[in-house]
Amino acid sequence: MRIAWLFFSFVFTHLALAEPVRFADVTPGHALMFPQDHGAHPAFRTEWWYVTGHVQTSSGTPLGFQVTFFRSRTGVGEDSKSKFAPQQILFAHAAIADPRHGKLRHDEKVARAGFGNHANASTMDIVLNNWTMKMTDAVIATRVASKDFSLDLVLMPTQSPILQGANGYSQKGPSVGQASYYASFAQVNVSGKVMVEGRSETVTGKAWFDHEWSSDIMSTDVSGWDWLGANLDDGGAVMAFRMRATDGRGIWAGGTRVAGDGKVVKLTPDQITFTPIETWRSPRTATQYPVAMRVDVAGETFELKPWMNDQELDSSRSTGITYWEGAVDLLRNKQRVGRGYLELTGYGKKLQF
Amino acid sequence: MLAKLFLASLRANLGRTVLALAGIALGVALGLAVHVINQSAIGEMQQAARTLSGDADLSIRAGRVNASGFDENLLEIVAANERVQMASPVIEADAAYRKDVPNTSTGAALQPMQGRQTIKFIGVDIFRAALLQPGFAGEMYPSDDRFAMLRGDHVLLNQAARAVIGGGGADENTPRKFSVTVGGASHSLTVAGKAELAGYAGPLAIIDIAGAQTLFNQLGQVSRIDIRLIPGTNSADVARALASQLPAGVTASTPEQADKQSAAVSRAYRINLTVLSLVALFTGGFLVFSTQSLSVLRRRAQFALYRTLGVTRGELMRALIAEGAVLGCIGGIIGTALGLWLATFALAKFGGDLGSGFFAGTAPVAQWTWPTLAFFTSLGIAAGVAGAAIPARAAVNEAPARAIKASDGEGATSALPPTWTGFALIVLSGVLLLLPAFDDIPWLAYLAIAALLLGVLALSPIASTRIIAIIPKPKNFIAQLSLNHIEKSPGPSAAGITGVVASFSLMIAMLIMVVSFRSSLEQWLIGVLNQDLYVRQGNGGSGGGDSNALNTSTGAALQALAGVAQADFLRYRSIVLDSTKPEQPPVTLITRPLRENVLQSLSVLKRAAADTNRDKLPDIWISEAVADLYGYTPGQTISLPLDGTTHPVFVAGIWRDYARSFGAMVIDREVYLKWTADDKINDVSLKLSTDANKANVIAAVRNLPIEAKLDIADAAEIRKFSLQAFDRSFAVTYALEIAAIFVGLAGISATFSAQAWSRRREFGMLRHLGVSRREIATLLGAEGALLGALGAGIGLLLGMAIALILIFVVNRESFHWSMELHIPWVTMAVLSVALVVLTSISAVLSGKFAMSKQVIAAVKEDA
Amino acid sequence: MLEIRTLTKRFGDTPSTAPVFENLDFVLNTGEYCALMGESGAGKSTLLNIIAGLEPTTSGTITLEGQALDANIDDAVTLFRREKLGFIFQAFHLLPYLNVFENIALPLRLNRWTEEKISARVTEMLASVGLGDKRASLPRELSGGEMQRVAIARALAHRPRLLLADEPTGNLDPDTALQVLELLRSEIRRNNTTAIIVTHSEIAARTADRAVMLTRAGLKPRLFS
Repeated sequence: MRIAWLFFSFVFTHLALAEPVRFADVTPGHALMFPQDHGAHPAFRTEWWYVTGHVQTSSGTPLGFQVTFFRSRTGVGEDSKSKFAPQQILFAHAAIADPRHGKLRHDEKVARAGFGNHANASTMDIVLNNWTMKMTDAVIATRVASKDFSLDLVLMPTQSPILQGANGYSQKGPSVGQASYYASFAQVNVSGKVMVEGRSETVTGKAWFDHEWSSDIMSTDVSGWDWLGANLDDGGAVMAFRMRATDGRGIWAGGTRVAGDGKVVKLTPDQITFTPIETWRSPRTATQYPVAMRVDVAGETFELKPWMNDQELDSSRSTGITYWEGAVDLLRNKQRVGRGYLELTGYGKKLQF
Repeated sequence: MLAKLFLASLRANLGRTVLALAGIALGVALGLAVHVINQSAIGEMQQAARTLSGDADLSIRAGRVNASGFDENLLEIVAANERVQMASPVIEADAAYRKDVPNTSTGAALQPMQGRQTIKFIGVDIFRAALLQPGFAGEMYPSDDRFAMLRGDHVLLNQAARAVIGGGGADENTPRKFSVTVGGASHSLTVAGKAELAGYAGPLAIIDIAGAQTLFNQLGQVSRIDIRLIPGTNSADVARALASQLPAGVTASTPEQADKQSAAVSRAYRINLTVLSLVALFTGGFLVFSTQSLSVLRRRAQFALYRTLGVTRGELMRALIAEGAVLGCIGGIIGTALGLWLATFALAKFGGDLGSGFFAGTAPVAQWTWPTLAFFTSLGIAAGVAGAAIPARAAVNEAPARAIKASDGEGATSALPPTWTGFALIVLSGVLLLLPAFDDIPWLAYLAIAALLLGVLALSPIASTRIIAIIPKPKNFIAQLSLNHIEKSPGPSAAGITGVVASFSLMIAMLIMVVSFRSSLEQWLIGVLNQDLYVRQGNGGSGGGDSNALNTSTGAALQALAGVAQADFLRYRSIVLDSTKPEQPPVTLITRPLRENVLQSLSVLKRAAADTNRDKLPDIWISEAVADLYGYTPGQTISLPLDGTTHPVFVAGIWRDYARSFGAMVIDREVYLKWTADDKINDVSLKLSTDANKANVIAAVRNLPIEAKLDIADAAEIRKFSLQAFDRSFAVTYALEIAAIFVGLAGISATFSAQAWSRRREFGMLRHLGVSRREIATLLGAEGALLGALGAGIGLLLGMAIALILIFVVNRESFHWSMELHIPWVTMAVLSVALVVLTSISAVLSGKFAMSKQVIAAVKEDA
Repeated sequence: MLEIRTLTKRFGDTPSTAPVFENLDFVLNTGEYCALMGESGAGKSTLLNIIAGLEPTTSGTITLEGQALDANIDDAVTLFRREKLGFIFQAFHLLPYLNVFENIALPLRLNRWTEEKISARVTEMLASVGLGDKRASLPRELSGGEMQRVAIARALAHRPRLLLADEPTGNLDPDTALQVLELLRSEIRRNNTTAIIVTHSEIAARTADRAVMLTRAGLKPRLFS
């Protein structure tokens, strides 16, 4: 469906075509204030609220889940008096990783903001065609209902938000301005209900929560990124990403390591390496994803093992934009030390616009 | 065995058989063709509407499609309903395509629709709408602009639209920019891609809904919300649940209900036309009656023989009825094939509009179903059986002993029903007229007409005899012979003229009705159009489309022109008076300054008495249709639902309106402006000062510094145009009537050719007595003329009676308007004379046998 | 008054067809009442039709009261027939929708007599055929004999010069037949008419003045003992 194509083009375009729209700039030294900054920032081009997690059902089945809400400022209709003007487009994505199923169950929605669909600017309150994500008193509730599955989860952060990069200013490339404001919650407690194929079960587990907004994050030579967000069993967390060029080499990287005692260490680009170990070829799109990776983070090495190979989100055959977003186990010395999600983008066609 | 004998008889009188077949075939063909054309036109209209709503289970609308919209905030309320899977808001409006050429302001004042091209714009939120109608997503032309689809001035065009702006071939040939005129302003649009919707043939442009709201000045409104429900939900339940949340005048309806509503507008017209088209078939039935009467008479001796040999009454009856059925069946099948061909040809050549204007601009494909064909064929069979039934009964009731010796026609049991049947039918007709319309269609009135017709026909032989008895005996022996013949043997003669009386009376009835209607319409137009010039935006129809509206500055500019003494601004709105009946088409609300001259222009039929309420509440003047459909009376206080609020108003009177058969109401413009912020103008009527030069004023209007192309017409031109439209809409009926007359004449022809044979000995004897061939021809001609005169006389009286039914019952119940009776005596006289001449000629030509040599030898035949 | 010379009648154009009769000679004097006899199919009716001008001759001449008859000039012959001839048919052939008075009056109207004259003459004829009381009756109310009497009245009402009767008693029983023949004879006498009666009944023929026989060989007188 062209809808997903739109999403990606909104997210990644920085070639503002003949649109003299001034998007807000991401500047270093800007202090993030909470809980307001948990809400939306409509002046910026792109924004998302992203949660991934690992839960277990009452019968002991492990499940991975992902829910993401996106907001994109199009620059179109800024002068329009119509309430339908498509100034802001909301997009949402949800997926369940169930090893029994062998591949992802996923669904997506898109709508323009207005008439019930909104991303509130003063507090985290997003509604998109009955999919919701709302923060009340530091607890986030999210509801997603789809034909094949539904999620009704309560997310309780156990720690204060991690301000990624320099106090939330997260550089994404060598030039000044290629950056985003980025805050995360690690070690989030999850409880709630998951319904799969008509059966509803209570679940509990741990999740990772990201909130990121920006106006210009990708330079032209970047074809995609690899990103990892994981909760470690000892209470710590790790977030690492690298931006990749078309030839596969990393142009930029960044990350944060939270120790088990809560100490936060910001990582510099040279401290992060992603090394593909195993690739998997999608039977649908023929894309090769390095689903098994080794990640070196300031001297620590984690091996990422996917729950299942096929966690590709092929959201639109017509445009061929696909990416891989999968539940992974973190191993050190063959021992499982944590769980997280690995996101691989730009391995198919270059994220081309 | 009987079958073979009967078939042999049919073949033996091939001429008459073919005639009867042709009569039935023609009747069936006309009925089927009219029905198929109308059905196809309606079908295409409904399909187009459904295509635009796609896979919707429900649609929320205010008033008629393409009329004013409703509050956009309803979208949120509707979408919040848990049974709604997707709610898609839509703006639907027309814009005139404007060729970017310099505007020349010469030419006639009246510029009718020719040369103007409209493109229908559908404004959607593609994210919502694509779920219901994937076609809206279309295909974008390659471009660097990824937001092309969302921009308010970018459109996707279908093939017809591309043809309008000059594209239509390869993508490269389609212009990328074009302009449209909306509300007095010109707007430039970019073509971003193409979209094809199978099922919608007209020019269509898909645009973002925000862009549509801006372009068509409909900020804050939507035309429609299409809804897809969660699978398994009952649409009617949700519609009811939503109804409580919708404001007055806004309803949720299923596609079936929407179909019914769009069909309702033209329903009365279509049904009346179909009934009229069956007149030819009705007459065809009489033709069968004539031919069967004659053939039964001829075979009297044969039948008597069969009866003596042991064939029972029942067997004989069944065989004769079967004869009629066979005639009807073959005629019906031929007629069905002919009708289909006729419909296909007419649709291809003339489009779907038979003159009413309801379906103008459509070019549908002929749509028909096997059950429809079967139905019309069975109508043919019914006509055949009905026509054969009475003669069959007469034949069967003959006493065989007498019949076996008698010569043709001597002492035959009358094939006509007894007198009391005739009176009974006339009484029945009266009773039926007292009963009300059923389902808004005057079915019973049609039955009453049929009963009256049959009743009078049943009485016509007695009537003929009595009338002739009164005539003083002429000296001329030919005249005397012809009078005597018809007086003394009315049976066969009456059988012959039934067809002519039926078709002629119906023709007279239609003539009187059309003339009355036309003269009433003309009077009404003269009254209504009492200003000098009428101005509106040059985009056609004043159906309440906001995209046609002018703004107040244009209105002020017109008022300020030199030579203009007064300018009146009119605004039209569509409102739903009764939201419990979503199929009922909406009523048009007309707002205009209710000055004295305006009130005079309304053909007021009934006024309210003075009332205290009158001073407190604003006046509203309702048309006859509103009074009929909603039961309002002058002096009553009613609630007017407008934009979600109801306003109490005082019904000041009832006026005649021929423009809108579903109702119109007039209120003062100032009152309307107090209630709404809507100061748009649809029409401006100008009264010129006494020394003004009309041509100068017209030129001044054209030279106004506004973008819009204004339509200007003076009252006379509008009258002429309206009457032309009226004549066009009845053109088809004239054709149908003439066809019926010819079927009637065929009956005369059959009768006379049969009589020439059966009276051969008589003619032979006359020849022996010294009557020349020419004198025999004159005798036939005189008999024909006499029958024609009788037929015309009865037909005239009957026709006038039927005209009264048509005017005061059928038209009233179908279209809810009244008209003044106007009888075109001269035309009727001319037609009667023409009929007499035609029947006379027909008689002479058909009776050629009577003048041949063989009749001389006939005198020698055994009786 | 009637003279027939070398009359030949052949149906069809080709000379090879056998003629109905050929080279007939016949003379009828004014006031004569002649019976024309012969077998069925001998051509008696045809001869009658030729005399009446309803059939053209193949060759030969017919002269009636000095006027040559040419059936090919339709109008002249028709007018001649109207005025000068009277007919009686076997099947009566009264117009069913005219009453007795009107049936008898038919040839008078054809000849444009005035209403008073018509009324007087018809009353007279009705009296002589003895149907005065049936003036207003319709043919279907009459017996066969009565109908033929009306026919006789009609045939003679306009005082024709020549009366042609074709098997007038063919449809009547013997007693009625005799009565009708008697009446016919007396009416012919009373009206001073020349008459030809076609019949194959000897009894009928005897009521005439003379009889001729139409055979293959031609017209031969027929004598009765």
